Amino acid sequence: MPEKNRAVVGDINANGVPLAHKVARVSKLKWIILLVPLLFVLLTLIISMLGIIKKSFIGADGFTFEYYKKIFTEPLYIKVLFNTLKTGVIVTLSCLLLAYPAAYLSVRAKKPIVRRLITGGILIPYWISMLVRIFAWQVILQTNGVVNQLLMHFHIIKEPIQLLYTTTAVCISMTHILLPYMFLSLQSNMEGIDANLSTAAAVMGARPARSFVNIFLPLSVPGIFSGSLMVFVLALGFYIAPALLGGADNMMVSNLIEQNMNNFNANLAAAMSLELLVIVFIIIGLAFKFVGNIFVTKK
Amino acid sequence: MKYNHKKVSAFSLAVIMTVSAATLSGCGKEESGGENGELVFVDWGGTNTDARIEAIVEPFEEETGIKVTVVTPSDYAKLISMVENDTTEWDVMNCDAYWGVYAGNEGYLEPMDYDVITTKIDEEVQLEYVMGAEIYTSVISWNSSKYDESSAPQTWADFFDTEKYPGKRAVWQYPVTVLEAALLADGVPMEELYPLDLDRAFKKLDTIKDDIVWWTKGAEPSQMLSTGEADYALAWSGRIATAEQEGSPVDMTYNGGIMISAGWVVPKNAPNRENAMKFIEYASEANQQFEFSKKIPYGSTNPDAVALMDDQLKKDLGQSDEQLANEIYLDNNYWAENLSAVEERFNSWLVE
Repeated sequence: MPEKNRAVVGDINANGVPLAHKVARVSKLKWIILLVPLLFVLLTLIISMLGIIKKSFIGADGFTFEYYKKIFTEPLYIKVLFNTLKTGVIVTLSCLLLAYPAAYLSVRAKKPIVRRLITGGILIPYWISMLVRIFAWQVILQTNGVVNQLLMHFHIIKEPIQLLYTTTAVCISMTHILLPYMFLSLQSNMEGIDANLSTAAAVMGARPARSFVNIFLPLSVPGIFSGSLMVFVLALGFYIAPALLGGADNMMVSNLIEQNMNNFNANLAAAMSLELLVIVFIIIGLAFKFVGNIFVTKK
Repeated sequence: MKYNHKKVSAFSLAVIMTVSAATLSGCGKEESGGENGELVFVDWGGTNTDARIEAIVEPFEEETGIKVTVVTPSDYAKLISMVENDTTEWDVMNCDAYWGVYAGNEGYLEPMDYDVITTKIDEEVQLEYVMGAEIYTSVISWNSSKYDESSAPQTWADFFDTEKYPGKRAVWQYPVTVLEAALLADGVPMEELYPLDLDRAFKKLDTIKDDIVWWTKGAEPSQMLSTGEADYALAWSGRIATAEQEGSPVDMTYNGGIMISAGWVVPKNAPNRENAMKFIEYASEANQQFEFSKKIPYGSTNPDAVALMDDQLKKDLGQSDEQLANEIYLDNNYWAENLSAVEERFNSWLVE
């Protein structure tokens, strides 16, 4: 028995129209709109990707697994990969924790102004240059910065604590930068959740908490997954925030890739890039397997 | 009239796409060279490049009639990929001299044409593939509102002495000059520094590892000192001097300074190789180097340029005879050969 939610060619999907029929209905104009970007991606991305794949397997002495062996056996590369994944997970979770209530409030707000304020508050920083925001965090988090002064003022700490050049600083700034991706993904999903369902639950006697846990939360899972996926994947490739706000133990794979490109170790850099890419593919694959067609928005 | 709207729009869209694709592919190099051709010059950008344009590029254009296009920033990975794909667009680039030697040995550069380049500069940086440009020195610096010369470390041994000089040290997150500083601190004489005793250097670095805040961009150390994020720093002299001129509370000593030379390189198959050599010759001449050092606090690789400086400027740049006796040039050949392996070891040590 095929699972219900999976969209495979030939399957009957939610609207009862086979996918193949839907494809046949796409008009000529739509095909062009679809094909031109596809062709662009094919030419620019896939072809250069082939070059990277080739580089990661073919060294000066022909075909070799040497580069992969190195990145999977030497402690440096394992540690840096682990650190990259760890940072990705922390940032994804913090984005989720911050964005979920905000998105919920914005969708359930009675007055449009509340919704606009929340959305604006999260999106406007997104238009400010990333570098500017990173420098702003440097100022805020430094030893004599606002955060330390506030904490000392309220006698929470006696001595300034080291915030800058730590994993905390990196994660705070990355969360700030990636928050809009999570928020928008959650918001668009939550908009599709029928508010009458919660009303119906209330009518049947469910308390707000129960109705949230049993009705709203499960329906928002696709938004959680697509948002988390997007944030996590973007976080893996971060370069400048860890370089400027992190310490030595915040080295990310992208930092090592850059160093190796400069040192004529393009093969090793290629192997590391593909390592990240494969991890991303595996994660997307797992997400599809466990949550079905999470990217299908509700009609 | 019945008009097939859909069909027409599809057609016009296709036309627009084709036309714009054709236009885009036509966006190649424009032929607008000066009377004697052109030159694409790549530099790091910022105030450094501004000074270079005034002191070197503009007079060069006037004198030779060669039109110079300035591109920023210098990008090692881009140069490598240009040469590998046989699409070199750059003629001359400013890079770290040790990287230039490395790139030259790997076959990515044109050798210097010493028939055209006749100016003599310091022999340490007049090399097969690289001609030294300006000097920036890894020096000991400190926050001058908290410390002065009597209370701040004045030698690398002091810098590594956390008992006598407690506090955070800002250090370059890169092995170049950092390992030298560690060995000098451990008592290795300057003339016996190379080849570096790596085990000894890392052992010495271990002693201050917990007191280090690492920096990766040249502007960071002066900022770290000003904000109190660090008490002392291993920093580049040019950046500290600039910050000091701008009013930041920072000071430095050239004592034990490790001089890194920037260098001129010409990428393999550069389209205007001849002009590149002419440019390097012009940029190396005493007068131009002197003018550049007057505008921005970077030392000169040309002794004749140093001779033109007054005593104060020499002292500011760490180029007086007394100062030079306690400074050492980075061994570009050592780093060209070992950078990759040492950097890997350095990174492993960092994440230990």
